[in-house]
Amino acid sequence: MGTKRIVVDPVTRIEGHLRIEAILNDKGVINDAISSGTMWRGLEVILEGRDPRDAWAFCERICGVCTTVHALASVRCVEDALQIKIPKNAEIIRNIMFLTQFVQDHVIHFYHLHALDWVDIVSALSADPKATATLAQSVSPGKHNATPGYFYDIKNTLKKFVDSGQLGLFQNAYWGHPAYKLPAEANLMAVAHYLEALKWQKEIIKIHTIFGGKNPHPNYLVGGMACTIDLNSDNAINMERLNMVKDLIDNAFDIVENMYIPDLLAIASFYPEWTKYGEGLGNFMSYGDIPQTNIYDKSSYKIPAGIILNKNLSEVHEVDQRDTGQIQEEISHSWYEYPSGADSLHPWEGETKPKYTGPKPPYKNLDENNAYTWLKAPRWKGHAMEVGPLARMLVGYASGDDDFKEVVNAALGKLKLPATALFSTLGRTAARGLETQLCIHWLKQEYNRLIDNLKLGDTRVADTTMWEPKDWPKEAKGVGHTEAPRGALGHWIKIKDEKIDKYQIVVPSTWNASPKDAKGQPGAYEAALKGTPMADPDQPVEILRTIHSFDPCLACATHVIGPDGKKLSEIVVR
Amino acid sequence: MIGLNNKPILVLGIGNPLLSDDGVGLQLLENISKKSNQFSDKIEFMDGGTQGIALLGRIADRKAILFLDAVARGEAPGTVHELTGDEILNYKSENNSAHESGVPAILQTAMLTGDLPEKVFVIGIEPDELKTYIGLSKKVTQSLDDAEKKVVSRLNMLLESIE
Repeated sequence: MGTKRIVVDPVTRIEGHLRIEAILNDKGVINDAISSGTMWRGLEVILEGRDPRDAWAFCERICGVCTTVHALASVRCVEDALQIKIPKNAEIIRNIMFLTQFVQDHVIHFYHLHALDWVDIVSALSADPKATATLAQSVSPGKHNATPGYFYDIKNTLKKFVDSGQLGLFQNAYWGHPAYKLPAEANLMAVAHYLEALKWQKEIIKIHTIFGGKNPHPNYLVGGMACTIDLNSDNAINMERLNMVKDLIDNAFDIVENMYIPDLLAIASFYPEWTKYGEGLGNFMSYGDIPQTNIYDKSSYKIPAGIILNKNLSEVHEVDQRDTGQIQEEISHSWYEYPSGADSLHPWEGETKPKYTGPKPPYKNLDENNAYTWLKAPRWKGHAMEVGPLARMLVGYASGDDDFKEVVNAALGKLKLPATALFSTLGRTAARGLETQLCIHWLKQEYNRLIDNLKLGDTRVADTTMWEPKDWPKEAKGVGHTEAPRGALGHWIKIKDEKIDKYQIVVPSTWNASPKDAKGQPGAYEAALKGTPMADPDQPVEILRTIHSFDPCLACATHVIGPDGKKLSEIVVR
Repeated sequence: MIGLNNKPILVLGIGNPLLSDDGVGLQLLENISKKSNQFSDKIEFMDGGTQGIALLGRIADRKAILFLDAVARGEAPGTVHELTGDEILNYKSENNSAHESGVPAILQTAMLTGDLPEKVFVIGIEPDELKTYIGLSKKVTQSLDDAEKKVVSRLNMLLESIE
């Protein structure tokens, strides 16, 4: 035999519930892997029969943090069905909300979900604060707070926290594992910035409160945005509030340029071997976003839409969410059945009917030759796709966009790496940082566009001409697409007699955590794990590094029900 | 710190209303906030959904916080629980996620960043069903009145303590 099968379940520091089973060969290298979403979420069923204008509010609850992206995709699909073009201010405000979400989410992912795969918290306790300050100043000369006193205080805070037994936040990691390579001082610097990022993230999101009326769960509106703008009124978004937004953006700019990016490059330089592992499918898809005119005009997107196949950066294929021959979900390895008997369906024809055929839990192993997950297998023209920051950066780069070329080439130059290094675990993690750099620049631009337009006297934020259902066609269908921080997100709707007839959501993590399809093609996680050597199968930090590099978000792909319909035991207090 | 002032007491409903009893905290929040004229303007009522540590900013700079949530301790469905912050801090955080990470992780993070309010309480109901469905189970619905009384009494105590 000479093979060994290891199971990581749940994969920690992710959203939701993901199970990975990896099969090692006799040299301890991963030969094959399966990715399973072990909980079901049939949210689409809840939406059927409801008012399409309310769908966004339900969709905001699909995922804890991705509230705005689901609301955005939802209002867009209804607007598409009813052929509504939203006013310029609404388009810009949606862009600002979108970019704010990206910047906050990417920084949180790096420091709070992914850094602990590379940074050893416990080792930070043995760092010398003075040497840490010297290191921090060399890594980022523009960063404030890089003094010995500051790092001394951080070390004390951490020590008190660990001594109090409250390791809660940091408990699910493999401290002291030989795969951790940072010196103690780099670890302490990263811990300090982890804390700074925590404090900062609660500020930046105030932009959502300002434009969305409230946060969490900001208000969206079919036809535009729900806020009122009047530069001179006390009861609307006025100049004072807009200045607050500007300050928040400036603050975020400082965090990204003087902390996140320098830390990312510094940490990456200690782990060059991770440009060799985690390559994955080599197929990448972006729906694109940040329209400069309107969402129907794909040529105006700041993030280009497109497909890359087989790592070929000299060709970008077009993606069309309405073409029923392009995007389809198949279920050969999923716990679903299509009552129509089809193998594979476009989301407009999609169905959500569960059919659990897996083992009765608790079980030892899943069977990769049969159905093994609650996720369907979405495919583009039959190809499995990776979505997310790396996909967007590569599609932008391959499209020849100057913004993308500039940040990618600068980072590769600093790390002395060729472009092929991007096809890796570290490449994926770096792409998220580089995208954040672009986003923070675009956030400034979009803010300025908004101010310029308001100063021209245009304060319209919604088009309500199609608000009344009596004006709707008897039947209509639409698609709403956006890019979530984790990748391409699509909502497909069919409206009939003023109500939602059908609703299907294909989320980014369904693409990335997809199971194999009928042809045996693996999903992105499964492909990315192949070929990775494991130092110690009992402490699978290598698996976590690659899976976390995708930023998995399984709550929007799955749900809290086990196969027997009873609640699972892991929820203590949510 | 930029603008948007926080009131001294926050009542924060946590949960997902699309998952039946997981939404009990939000139902309690709605019932209580309808009676908010009984209380002074020192209390803010907020629907926190399943935002996890993204709620940190809403917790900071408060004197007291009362979470309303589904609390599953393996007791009979519908049992009303009242817990203190210290008890919650000792719960193991199962899944260190940025979001949906639950009240224990929010509190542990707030402690680490120095944002933990002095007084923290949780009032919740033991769930019966966590299926994809909007609406609460019968057993949990029957306990709402009892839980509401506990919330009102806790809020009155908190108001007195911060006067």
